[in-house]
Amino acid sequence: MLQIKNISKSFDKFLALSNISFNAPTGKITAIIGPNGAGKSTLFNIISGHLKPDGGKIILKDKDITGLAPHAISSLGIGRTFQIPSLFPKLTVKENIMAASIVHNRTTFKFFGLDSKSEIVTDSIIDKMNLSEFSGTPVGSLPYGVGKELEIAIAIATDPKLLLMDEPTAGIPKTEVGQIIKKIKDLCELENITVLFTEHDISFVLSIASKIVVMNYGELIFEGTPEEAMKSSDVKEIYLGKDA
Amino acid sequence: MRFDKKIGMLLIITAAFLAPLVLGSYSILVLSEIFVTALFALSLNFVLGYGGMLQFHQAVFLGVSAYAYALFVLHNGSLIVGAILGPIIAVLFGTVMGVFLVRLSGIYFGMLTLALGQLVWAVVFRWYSFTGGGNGIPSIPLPGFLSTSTERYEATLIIFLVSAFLLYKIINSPFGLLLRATGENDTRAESIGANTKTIRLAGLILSSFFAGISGISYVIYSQSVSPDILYWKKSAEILVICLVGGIYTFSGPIIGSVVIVLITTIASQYTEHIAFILGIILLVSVLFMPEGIVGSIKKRIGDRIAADKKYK
Repeated sequence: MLQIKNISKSFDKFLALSNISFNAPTGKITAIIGPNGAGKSTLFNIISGHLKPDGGKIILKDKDITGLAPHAISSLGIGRTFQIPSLFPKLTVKENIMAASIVHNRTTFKFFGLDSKSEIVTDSIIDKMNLSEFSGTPVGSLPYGVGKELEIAIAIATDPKLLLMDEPTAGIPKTEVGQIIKKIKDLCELENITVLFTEHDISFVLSIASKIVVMNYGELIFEGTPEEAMKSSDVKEIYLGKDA
Repeated sequence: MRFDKKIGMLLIITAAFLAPLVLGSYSILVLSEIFVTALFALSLNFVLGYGGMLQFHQAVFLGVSAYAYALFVLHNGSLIVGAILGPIIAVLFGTVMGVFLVRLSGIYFGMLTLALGQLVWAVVFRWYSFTGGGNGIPSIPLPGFLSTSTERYEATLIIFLVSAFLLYKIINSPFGLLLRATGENDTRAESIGANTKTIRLAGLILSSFFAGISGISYVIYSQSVSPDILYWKKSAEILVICLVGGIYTFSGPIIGSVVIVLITTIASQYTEHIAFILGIILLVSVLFMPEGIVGSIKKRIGDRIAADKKYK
């Protein structure tokens, strides 16, 4: 589905990404793990078009999407969620999701009336994500965890083939993490969405990912299944610490 | 609650139409000014409150439209064609400026609106042979059906009501939702696939169109134009009106217009320092009602803004 080829990026003299290559297989969940500052978010911003790489290519299903504008990349079927919820705070939960649905339905420039198709899609997503009790609530006053779920709901409304999730469980109480994991898993299986996500909680990763990519200091140090990752001495040493 | 609101609005509109029967000609003129100002304020708030764009020089579009009508009619053009030409010229200016403006955001956007706007003002002010320079154009002819003050009053009222209705519809349309989304979080709007530059440009063009309509309404009300109507002070005034009324509500700019026009009309009988009074009003409003009059009242009664109601 997605191929990352020799991507490099530096900020001033700091090398954030050095020659990163891997792929995210279709219909599977791929996790990128690594400590803070490993370059995970930078890589995500490059894939989604918010940053331009210094070198390398991003290929989505045989199509080179390197350096396209974010809105163009989104319309090619890449949805994304943000680590810190990035929402439309004065709009209601329903309006947040509906905005994405309208763009996907290509009715952005409909100046009068409603878009009933988008509204139907929005209502079904609200149902699926169990957000109905917050439907009419302005997003600015939502609890943090609900904001994270809304992030996912908005991304789904664009009907993505590939979903990029930047630390979907960060800042969420341990007790609610399971619920989010289940939702991500269901999404991947039921809607046939390929998922690429970053995470620093390794237990969470092992439970859902079918492929793991480990990064450290801007370099890719491991690529393989969760089982292989657990056996790899490199991963143990650099990611889990020397005592692990 | 909804039902009561509809009845209340119908009563106010009916009263407005019947006002000339009871009020004197001066009061009618003040009410006309309120309608012209309120439409102008709504046109600004479309990009300011909903689109999140710091449009500091909205007066340009009112001005060029009013001048387009005046100059066209002065050169023996048809009055009706002139009235249509005004908003078209405003849209032309809005489009050309918009193409440059949408590349910027925040305060840089605002600075460019000021710079471009003052450029237009300077041309109008200096080009004496064409625009009449600082004297402006007095006694502009109007169509025969606008010969009495009551007719002109009803015309400004109808133009205001129709335009406000259209703006309300647009704000609650799919485009309106995306305009609000873009105004709130440009980055996020882009990552759901929205072409935010085009959305903002469309917003600016629509806004200049309605400002152009308010320019025609202004000519009907004052029957004259002068460079003052597209000077930055006029834009600052309308900005204050939106802020005082509340930029996150549809009715805020309308209420702001009523309050500010009434206060300045009364105050101007006693003092020449109107700007000073406007300053105090703005200060009080920012300190005690940061969301404007309507915003604060709505917050207090826990009501959601009108545009949000639709998708509950």
